[in-house]
Amino acid sequence: MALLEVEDLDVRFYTETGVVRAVDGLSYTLERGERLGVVGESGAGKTVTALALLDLLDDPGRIEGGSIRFDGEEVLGAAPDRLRRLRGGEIGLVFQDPETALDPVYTVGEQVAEAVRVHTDREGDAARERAVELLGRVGIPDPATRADQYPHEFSGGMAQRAVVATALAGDPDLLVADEPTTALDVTIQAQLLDLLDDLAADDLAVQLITHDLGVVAEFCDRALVMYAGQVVERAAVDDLFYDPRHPYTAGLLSAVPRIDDDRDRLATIPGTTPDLASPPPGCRFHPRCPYAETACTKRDPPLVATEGDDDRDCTHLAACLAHVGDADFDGELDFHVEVDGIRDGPPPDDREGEP
Amino acid sequence: MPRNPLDGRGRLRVRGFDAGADDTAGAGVDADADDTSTATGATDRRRRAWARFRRDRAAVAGLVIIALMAALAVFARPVEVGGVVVQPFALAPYDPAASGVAPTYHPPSLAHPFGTDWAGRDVFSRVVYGGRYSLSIGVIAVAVALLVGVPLGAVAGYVGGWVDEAVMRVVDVLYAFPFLVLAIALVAVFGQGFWRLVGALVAVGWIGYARLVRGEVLSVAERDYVLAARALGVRDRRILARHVVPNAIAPVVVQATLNVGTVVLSAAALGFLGLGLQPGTAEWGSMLSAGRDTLVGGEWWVTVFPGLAIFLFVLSINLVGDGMRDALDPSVDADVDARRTREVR
Repeated sequence: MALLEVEDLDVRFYTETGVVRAVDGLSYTLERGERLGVVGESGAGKTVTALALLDLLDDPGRIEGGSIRFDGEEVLGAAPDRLRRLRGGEIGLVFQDPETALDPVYTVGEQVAEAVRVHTDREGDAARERAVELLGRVGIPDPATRADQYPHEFSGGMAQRAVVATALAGDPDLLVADEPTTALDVTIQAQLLDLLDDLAADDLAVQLITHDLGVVAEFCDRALVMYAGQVVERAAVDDLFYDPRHPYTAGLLSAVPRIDDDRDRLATIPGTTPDLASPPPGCRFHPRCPYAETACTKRDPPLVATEGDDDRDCTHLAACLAHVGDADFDGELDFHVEVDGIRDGPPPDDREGEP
Repeated sequence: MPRNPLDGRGRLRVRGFDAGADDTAGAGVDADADDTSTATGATDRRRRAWARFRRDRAAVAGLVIIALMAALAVFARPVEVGGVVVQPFALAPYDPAASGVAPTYHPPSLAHPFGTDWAGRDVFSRVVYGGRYSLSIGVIAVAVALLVGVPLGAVAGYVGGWVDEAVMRVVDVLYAFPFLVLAIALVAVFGQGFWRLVGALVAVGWIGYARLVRGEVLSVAERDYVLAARALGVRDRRILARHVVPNAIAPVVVQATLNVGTVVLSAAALGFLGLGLQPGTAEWGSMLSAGRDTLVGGEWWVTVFPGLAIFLFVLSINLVGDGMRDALDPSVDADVDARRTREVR
């Protein structure tokens, strides 16, 4: 049985401009100890998905349908006590901006200790000791002294480590990290990923939400690509990067700058994410898709297994009519990924700094 | 021989640079664990706030003045509880209510440092003793108003929905009455007396705190750390009490301290209208009102000393309020520290 099973999740925001379908028919599973990457542009529904897992959505957002099972137990509609045990005790959440995720009026140690008190029967000094231990575990040097300091006395990287420590306080089985490295600079990002890597080695499942494909390639076993509230492709990370099956994934990959790039401009995907209050008919990506045909404007492609999917335990799914057998789609997705792993040619020219 | 710290510079050599060696950090942990294990988080936080407060000289001066006035008020005359004298000191030379201790309108002298009023009562004794009324009315009325207004406003802002609507409509209705008219109506209905006066002041005082707290709570509840606390499974009640209210309370604290002065003046205004304490009570505001005729006659001491007492008290209260605001906001502390470091250099 999978640790986390999300089935047909449907989240809507009831706003003045209309009903926004932020997450639409999302399904995925996450095994114990697995590292799942969730990628997509801003507004694709990544964060909303994470909040929905813990039933943390506030008005005007509401979960309208589907099911979220953790360890086989339904989360949606669970009793408040059950939800509190789930939050932090079974699923830990790490936020994007560590500076705002810590309460400025309490010391860092006290905030970790609070999480310890909620989920264990330690009180007082025992909770504090455990908090110091956790701060040490996430690699904060001299944790006993740092525990007495306030968040504003922490650097971004250290604060993010402290946030991870609070998320770990209840000894969860799954850590959901919502763009944990976005607010950090590159060297600190690497350190934090090392930390998550270290934690994941202890059978902690990690759902890493990011828009950084490099982070996904480095860290994850499997990845979901989300677009406009839907999963457009789901595959093992190697398959996703070397053999993308959805035009959107291909577009994202082509937009990543490479150090030996000889293009004058980086590729972009034309257009912007659609307004989810009135999404385009058919495939939501069709207005921006270079391969779109008439059929794409009429039928919303389901997430299906793609051709040439070999028999590994992780299937390669994509939501594009090109992979739907009975669809009225004549064209061909003629993108491919070139792999030249050996970089012994002439040094890259001077374009790497260009936007 | 003075040691030049740069002497060894040219000979620095990095050998087998090893990022993993952090034995020293481990030693630090043990040493510090002994230091801090006794102090729990809450007491520690208060200690730090107090340390910051102490650095603010004006605030400390204000606190000292308030403490002095409170002490003078307590020790002005003996205090009896149920016929037993619990406080035998009498700093006030005369009974504040005793008339005819000296000729009427006697100017300040050694025997009567603040002079006497129209009934020949010793103004010094009355001012010292009057602190009992003024200070206690101000502090008690504000404290009770806070106890009513802060929870109501916080719950209204955090829970929202019909709770918010209900509380805020009551506040709006009360705001629609002129403050004095409402207080007069309440006193007229319930009668005079110390506790009734306090009650009337609370009834019109809590709405300001409720509205202020609600606004702050609405903004604080949107912060990430509140969501983070919810994601950790902390109960809503606890989030509200520990994370939302403490972050929303600073402006309320400042408002409340300022209001202690305002409430003292309001009590005086009610006294002036004959709706406060009994006429002739040695309350500073009432003394001012009673002495208003003397402004024409030139007997300045009858009004100046109670007025000075009010002025000093309100000023001190404001200084303390400012100091508290700075002490309760740790991020301000960083600036102060930076400035101090620069000054030292």
